[in-house]
Amino acid sequence: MRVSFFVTCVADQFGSSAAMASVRLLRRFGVEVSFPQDQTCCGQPAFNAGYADDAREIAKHYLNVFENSLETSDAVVVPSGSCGAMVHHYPELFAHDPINLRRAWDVSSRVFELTQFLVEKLGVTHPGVDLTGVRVAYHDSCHAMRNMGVKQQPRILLEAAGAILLPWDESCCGFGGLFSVKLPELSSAMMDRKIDSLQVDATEADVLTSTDLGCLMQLGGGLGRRQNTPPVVHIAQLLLNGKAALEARVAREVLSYEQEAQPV
Amino acid sequence: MEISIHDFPEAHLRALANTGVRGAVMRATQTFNQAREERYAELPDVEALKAYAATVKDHTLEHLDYYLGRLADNIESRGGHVHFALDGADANQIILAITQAANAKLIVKSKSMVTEEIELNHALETAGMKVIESDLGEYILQLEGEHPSHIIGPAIHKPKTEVDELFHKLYDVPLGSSADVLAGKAREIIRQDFLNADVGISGVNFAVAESGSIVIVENEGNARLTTSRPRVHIAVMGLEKVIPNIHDLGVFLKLLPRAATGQRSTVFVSLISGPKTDLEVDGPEEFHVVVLDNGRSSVLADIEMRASLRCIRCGACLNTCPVYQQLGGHAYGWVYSGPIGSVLDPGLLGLSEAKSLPFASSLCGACGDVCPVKIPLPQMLVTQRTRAVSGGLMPVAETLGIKAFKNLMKNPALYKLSSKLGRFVKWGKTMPNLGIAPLSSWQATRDFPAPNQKSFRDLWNEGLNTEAAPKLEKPEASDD
Repeated sequence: MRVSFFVTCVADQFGSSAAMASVRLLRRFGVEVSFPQDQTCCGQPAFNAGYADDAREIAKHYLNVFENSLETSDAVVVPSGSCGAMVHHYPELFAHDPINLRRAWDVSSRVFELTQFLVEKLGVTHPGVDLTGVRVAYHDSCHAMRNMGVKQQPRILLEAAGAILLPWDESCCGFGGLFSVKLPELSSAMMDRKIDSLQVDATEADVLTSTDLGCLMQLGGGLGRRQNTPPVVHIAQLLLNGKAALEARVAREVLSYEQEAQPV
Repeated sequence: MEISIHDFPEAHLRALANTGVRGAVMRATQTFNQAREERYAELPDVEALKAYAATVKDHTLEHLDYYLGRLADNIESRGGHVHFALDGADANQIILAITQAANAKLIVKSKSMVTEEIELNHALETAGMKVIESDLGEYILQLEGEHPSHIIGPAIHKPKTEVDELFHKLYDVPLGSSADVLAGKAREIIRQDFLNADVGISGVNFAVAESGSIVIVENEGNARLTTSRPRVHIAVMGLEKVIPNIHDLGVFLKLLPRAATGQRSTVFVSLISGPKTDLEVDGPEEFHVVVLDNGRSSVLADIEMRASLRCIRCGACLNTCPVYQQLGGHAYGWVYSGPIGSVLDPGLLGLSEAKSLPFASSLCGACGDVCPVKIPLPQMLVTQRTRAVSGGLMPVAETLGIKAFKNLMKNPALYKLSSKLGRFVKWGKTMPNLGIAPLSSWQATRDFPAPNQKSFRDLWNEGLNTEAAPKLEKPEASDD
């Protein structure tokens, strides 16, 4: 199986370890990974803020890049659910543009979130690491869950590795793209609700993880201002490195700031 | 009600500062949510039922002229009167004329959001009539001079301690009395008003065109008294409340209580099909139905927003919305709050009036999941935002910022260059707070990560692209 890796601009800049872990995880299962160099952003910030025309221009660039790369690969894999969900919105964005609508369908139907791809397309049932006894607070990315159908896949992989999934508040983390800076107090109140729950309902969590860099940036950013909080890592790092993902991290790191030199 | 919808930017901050209200709203909505999910889960295929209800509503809306005509004919054939009102002022004038003709001094009302929308109480009181809200929540709010903050739980924002104090002050009920005692006191007082009222005014949950009936669901029995005891009954409805026939009603009666309060059925369901006949002992001598437009036909004509008229006012989207749960309804500034308010209020009042509301959402999509008539609320929020942008309602700085972002992202060479430039400065792990918006807005409560020392792109080109695949530590589980 050959895939084009859609890193997302957020992971490219702020989550390169998570992105690297995603590539290595794919390779662990025999996937041949390519990286289309001209990719930038999916246009989600513009789209969600109501700037449909601007989002369309970015989307056209995205379609050019990935249409091309899909000629030599089977699917596009993305380590951030909401960015993948944005590509799933492209048909809606080009509803009145038949030519690009067709292109949007062709590309978006082949875009998968990382754990979704592993479980649904590769049939992976075990990530190949040991997480026995690791207590995980898994956060559902709203867009991955509702717009891409990512709910069970990450749980299947975590549990197969022996992780214990802790029940905690299931609401939105309050990120919401520009929402987080346009209504920062409200966004923070939503974040605090999640973090409070983590510190009350899932107090024994060893790690907080998710399939979305946006959510992790929000929750990790908020945890950075608190004491006694679990480390925050992207699910790819957990599924690639197992328990080592926790040891290597200092608690309260938003994303992974330090580069991992060697593959595990 | 005074429209203060422009105030959202300030009002939502006041709401966030009010921990008493936030706690009360959070507790109440979580209780509603849990009950709703339990009752939804009991149905064999709730999604199919929702889809059916949505289809019935869409069909009716597409043939609204026909069904409203049938409804009016059938009500009138049984001696009722139907009045069509263009807007709130029109509706209030019609209702005022009926009450004055009845020589009314005391009016009892059961819960109705549409009469909040048209500020009916104010109109009646200005004309010298006394109006009593008979729903317990509404009664409390009337005593306090407040407005409802939730479609079905008007007073959910009030902590019980405040109600205790109110009843202690007014009626000398001991502080800390149980909810039953407080409700009993209210019932005792309102009972007299039911006996003395000249006119009863109610809302309408559904209006069945083929039988000419209006349907009211409630738990307290006050709506039944409102609609049966006084000599004149006036029912006020938005024009979208009509459904074709009685068979369809069953679907809505299954969905509405489950979605709203998590009940299988409300305690009372009243079907009212006209004034008292010669064979009947009870019931009003006069029965009037006021059908209100007030901006609804412009929503009907708006193909992207039409589905918002499917709304059956259950409040499920409010309960599940993490924004509503933080703020309560008053911050939204108008009768309809939460996600449905954020898409409907701009339709009824005009987008420039309500431009803040579509942005009061993280677009998490929870509202779309719970809606019993499958209104695509998340998508509609984005549509309203897009209209606010194309209508030039956004700040210039934001618009320019997005343009710059777009130019960066459609130009890979520029993107790669800025990726390199951003790494010339050696930041720490997190960005320092330099007081520059919008980053500083983020940093008030959250750390913002500095760019990684190397971008993924750099890592890829410096060796990741040719790296060997990592080995599987454990063989993949072969079972299941």
